[in-house]
Parts: sequence; C-alpha cells; structure tokens
Amino acid sequence: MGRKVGIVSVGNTEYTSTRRETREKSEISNAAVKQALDNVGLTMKDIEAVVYSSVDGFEGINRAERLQPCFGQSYNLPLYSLNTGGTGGASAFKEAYHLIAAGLYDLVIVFASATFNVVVDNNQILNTAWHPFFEKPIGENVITYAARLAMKYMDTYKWPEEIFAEVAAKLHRNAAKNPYAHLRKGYTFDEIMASPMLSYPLRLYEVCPVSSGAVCLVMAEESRARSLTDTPVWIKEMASISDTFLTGYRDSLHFDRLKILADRIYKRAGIKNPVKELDVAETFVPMANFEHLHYEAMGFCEEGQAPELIKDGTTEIDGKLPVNPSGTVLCTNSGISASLTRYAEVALQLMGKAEGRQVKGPPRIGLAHAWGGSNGQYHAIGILERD
Amino acid sequence: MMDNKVAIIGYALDRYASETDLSSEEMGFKVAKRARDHAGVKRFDITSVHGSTMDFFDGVTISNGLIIPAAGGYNIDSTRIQNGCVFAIISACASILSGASQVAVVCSADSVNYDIFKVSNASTDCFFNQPIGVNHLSTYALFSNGYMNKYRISDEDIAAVAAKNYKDGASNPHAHIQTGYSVDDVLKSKMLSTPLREYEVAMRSSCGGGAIFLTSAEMAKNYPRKPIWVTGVGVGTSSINLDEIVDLPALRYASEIAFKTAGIENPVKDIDVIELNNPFSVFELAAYEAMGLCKQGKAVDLLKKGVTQSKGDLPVNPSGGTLCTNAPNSGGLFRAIMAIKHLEKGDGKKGKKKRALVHDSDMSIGMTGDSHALMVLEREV
Repeated sequence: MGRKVGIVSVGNTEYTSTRRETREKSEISNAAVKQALDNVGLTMKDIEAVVYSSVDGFEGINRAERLQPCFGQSYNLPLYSLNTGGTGGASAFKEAYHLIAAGLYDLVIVFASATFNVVVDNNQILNTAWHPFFEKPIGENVITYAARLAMKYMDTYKWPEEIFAEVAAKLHRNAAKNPYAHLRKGYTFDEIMASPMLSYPLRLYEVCPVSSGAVCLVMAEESRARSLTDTPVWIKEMASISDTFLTGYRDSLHFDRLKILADRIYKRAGIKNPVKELDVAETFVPMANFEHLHYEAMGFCEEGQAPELIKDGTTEIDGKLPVNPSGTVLCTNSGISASLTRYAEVALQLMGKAEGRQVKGPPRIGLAHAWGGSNGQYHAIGILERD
Repeated sequence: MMDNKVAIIGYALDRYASETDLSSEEMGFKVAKRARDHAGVKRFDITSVHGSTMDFFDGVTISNGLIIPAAGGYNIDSTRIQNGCVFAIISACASILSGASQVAVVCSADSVNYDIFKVSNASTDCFFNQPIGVNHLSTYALFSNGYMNKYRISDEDIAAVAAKNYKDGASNPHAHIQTGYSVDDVLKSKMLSTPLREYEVAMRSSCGGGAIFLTSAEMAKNYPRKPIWVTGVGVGTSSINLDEIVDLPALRYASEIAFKTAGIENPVKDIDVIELNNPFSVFELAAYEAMGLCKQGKAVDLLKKGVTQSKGDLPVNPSGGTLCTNAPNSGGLFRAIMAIKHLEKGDGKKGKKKRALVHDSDMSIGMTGDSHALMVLEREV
C-alpha cells in the first residue's frame, strides 16, 4: 500500500470578476503558488514536482502552463499537465496524491488554472465540450442542462421553484463570510426570486458568475508534512468515476454515477452514516439545483427529500453537517481552480483556518467533491481528515 | 523513488496512417479491446484508465470524454495527462504503486486532421508570439541553429541522422513512413526553415492508436504473459526561454532521475535500446548528449561510429523514430510498444535484450516549456 499523504498549505489569490480582472494569467498563477509556498516557508527549489490542471479548450491558449514561468521550469521540475474538464482540480489533486503515495516524489505543488479569465463568452466555449456532431450543434450548455435537471426534479417530487432560491440564499449568505469568494453580496431569498429568469426554472442568482482567481496546494509525504506544519490534513480516500460521453444515456433526475462513487468511497473509508460521521462537505455547485442532487447521491437524505435539509438548517455553517460553508462555485466560479478550491476549502476547515466561515467542532473529517465534463461525465470525491 | 516495479502485461497498436475511417473513440475502443485480449484481462477487472490526448489535437474540449469510456473507463477511476503517453504510463504506475488501482490501462488515439501550424501557434504567448507567427517549426529551427552553431555541426551530419531513421523505418512494418530516404534525398528535399529540410522534420501520422495494460508485481502472476517491468522513470520540464534549452537541460534532469531509479550507471553499457521522440533530426544529436550517451558536442562522433545504428552497440530508434511515425497523441505508446517488442524479440548485441529506455515529450507543439519523460523497461532473462 501507498504512503500517507498530507496537505500542508493552501495558497489563495483574491477573486474578482473576469471583466474587472487586471492581472494577467501568469500573475494569478504566481500569486497563488507564492502564497502556498510562503505559508510553510518553502521556495520552488524545495519542490520536487508540480501537477497542473486546466481545460485548454476553455483557455483560448493551448497548454497555457508552458508559457507561465512560475512552475519551476527554471529548475527543470516535472510539470504534469492534466485535463479532465471541471474535475480537473480534483484530478490534479488525485494525481499528486498517487505520485507521493507511490514514492515517486515527497513534496508536490498542485495548481489549477484560473481558466476563464480571458474568455469573452463563457457559454459559447462551454458548448465546445459536447459531442461535435450530435450535441454541440443543438446549442447545449451548462445552464440549459441544469435547468432540465431542475424541471425534472420539480416535476417528479412536486417541489415549487422556490427550493432553488433557498439553496442559493444559503450559499450567498455563506460566501459573504468568505474573504476568498467572488460574489459576497449575500443576496437574500427575495432578491434571488426577483432576479431575471435565465433558463426556467433557474434565475440569475441561482447560477454561478464567471470569476478570476486561483488556488494552489502544497502536498507532502507524512514525515515531511509533519515537519512543515502542525496542522497537516491527510487524504483518507480519493477516486473519480466516469459516465458515457454521449449524454442521452443518462438519468437526468439524479447524479447516479456520483451515488455509485460515494457508496464506493464510504465503504473504503468505513463511513456508514455520512450526515453523522462527516463534519463538513464542499461540493461543486455551479447551479443551485445541483446541491439537492448531491445530498441525495451522497446519502445525506432520501431521494426527493433534499429541500428539507435546506429548510431545517442541517447544512448551514452551524448545522449538523455544514455543506458548502464557502458559498461554493455558485459564488466563485474560477474555472478549473474552482474544483481544486473544494479540496482546499475542506483542508482549511480541518486546519481551523477558515476564518469567518469556520465550522464549529473542531471538524475532523470532511468530504470534497468535483464535477465536470459534458453534462457532468465525471465526478470525483475525496475524504480528508486530520489527526 | 520507485521502490517497486510495475508490470506491463499486454499491449496493442493500430497501424499508423494519414487517414482512417475511425473516430478517436472507435480507435480507442479497438486498441484497448485488443490490448485487453492480449493481456488476458477481463472487462470488469480494469480499475483505472489513463488517457493521453490534447484538446487541440482532437478538436473537442475535454476530449478525454471520448477516449476514457471507450478504453473501459465507464464507472471507474480515470484521468488524462496532456504531456504524452509515457507521462500517462507514469500516472498509471503511481496509481498502482499507491494501491489506488490494481489493473490500469493507458490508451491514446489519433484520428483528426488539423493544421499543426495553427495549433502550435495557439500554444505560444498570445500577446508577443502569436502575432509574429511563432510555431513549432520556427522553434525547432531556432533550437537547431543554436545547437549547430555551438558545436559546429554540418547540414550533412543532421541529414545523416534523418537518413538513419528512415532506413530503420523502411524495415519496420509498424512505421508510417517506409520510404527509406537516403542522405542525398534528405539534402535534396526543400528547405522548410533553415537549417531544417522537409525530410528532417517529422511528417504527421494523423491516424492510429495504442493501449497498454499495467498491473502490480503481485497481480502480474495472475495473467498469462511474461511481464515487461517498468523499473525507473524520470520527468523534467524545459525553461520557457529558448536560449536556456540549447543543451536540453530538462532531458538531462529527467535522464539522471530515471537512471538513478533504475540503477543505471553507464547508459551506453546498461541500456540495450532507446526509443526517442525526435520530431526533427537535430534533436536526436542533442539528446544523445543530454542522456549521457556521449560528451557534450560529441554526438556526431557517436553517430559516425555507428553506435546508435540498429546494428550498433546501443540502437537509438530502430523503429524509425518519430521521423517515420509522428503520432501527436499516441506517439509515446508507439515508442513504448516498439521498445517492448525489441525486448521480447530478445535479439541484439548480447544475444538477449534486457533493458530499454523510452522517451516522450510534448515537443510536437514547439520547443519552449516542453516536458520530457523517460521510462526504463526491463525484461527478465
């Protein structure tokens, strides 16, 4: 079996709108990498490998990491470039975990790009991820896809469209407490319901913005991790799952692959009752209705019951199982970095460094998730824990 | 590093060509299925899929969506590494050694025709380099000029390297270009970008694919084929400044780590065959030096002595190399499988081949910031 692997540091940049962004891509990358290294008093010279992730089709530049000098190229450090869509950050995290656990490297940097920061029309480029002959020409994009899921959910379980505004209100409230969130306005339920309809039943504030900013993690093998920090966060389990590429084969009511993956991971991690045993969860929620589907796939409630968990406050920051205390992707959609941020946020919570959004406890074990590919072909889950 | 070795238990390669009727997922399915039969692995024994393709080569954003399910990734763990297939093999090795995966498949396919000049131009800086038309060929030429001026290399010398590759490619049934161009043919071909002529830069093999199955040393006993072992790996990345890479420090860095992990002290003596990604002739000479096969600036002597010929002491690219088979996505698997076939054939200088070195790089989109991976393969004799 592999070696134990820990997260020792999280480096975040400021987050803003892509329209207001004044930093160049490499400046954002450099800021995140430098912050992560500075936190634990390291320099690039100490690092043995870098794992990078982005989606080139979204960047407008092919293999943008080859142009950014902040990844140790001057020291000829290995620079692994991953691209698995929205799960890219999670895949990079998983890759670094495997490389360290396998004994190939002791100290690795994981970085996920601020992908969208040069993009003019986000939905247009997202459309290029669908099948070029069968699905792309009909104009598929993530908002219409999420709206279809939301309609089927409302129709099947007889919920009103207000349930999505309730989730969004919780996330906007949380993001207002998070210094590393992009939208920190704390929109209320009424403001959300009054925002313009984008694709029925999803409104503007129930859909993520396009943000700019990035996150970087430093990961290390056990003894290095312990020497670098008093609060290492260990990786207990980590895996991804793939669906078919063509989306017509899928159940548009649930995230059924996510359910299979969650069951698999819980079994390996010895988790029987996730709501009781997990202390915090960060899931990838670009559209408000995804959070319901995550609750059900991850076994937090029965199918069709997710809106109840929002209503009774179970998943609030001070609830029984806080879910998305950061405000998640709905408030900070920094491209591929947003999927790595889920892991970074859980790590910060377990380290006790989550500032305004810190969950009480102190939390010992958390779940991080990522979603990506055409209509969510991929899901990834990691279980993180501290000593 | 690399305390345990990883077993390669089966592989398959599709014929490389300029055109195909198969889409990339059909090609991926075909080779992955054949490799699975070759390895004797059952469909649901696969625990992870490691793809290696690039969005810009496939014409689809998140293009691994196509190849991962086709290679057996439905319902299981997967990833996609963009640097090249040997990097994906390293990813598979890491999965297996960390205990996360038991049987891993590395799969890649090429099936799209695109304009490499546009793609390589889109891989350069959008403010300073794209407008002046920098592309892969211009970086190859700048590198070649830098190297050739530094070590006084003549046009005839670099044509001889190309001819060596074409000669070997002509006798390799798996190679795409089997024309066997001579030194004269190469020198007479038209100048593309000084000092590189048409036959000194690899033509593209747009269509083809490959797959390899890997498992742990323990699990390898359950499968019928005698495994080829991955015993060492090394990776390095070049500086983004062209003037810093004339001596290929990234390849040197990667080879030092790969040799250390595999316990190789003298590469010329300890390695039996090398499969190198040489998208243009000059790179092969510079690579001899970076990999420590000879002293700096002495690559031409090594070539002239015949050491790296297919019948020499240390054959480099007996498959014809990238000059004969230049698959942008799956080239790393082509080279790995060629090396495995050499090891399995067991002929060569000592009557038995034992150790091969496989090189991979993402140089097909240009020379700066390029990454290099080396993998040592061994066969027990």
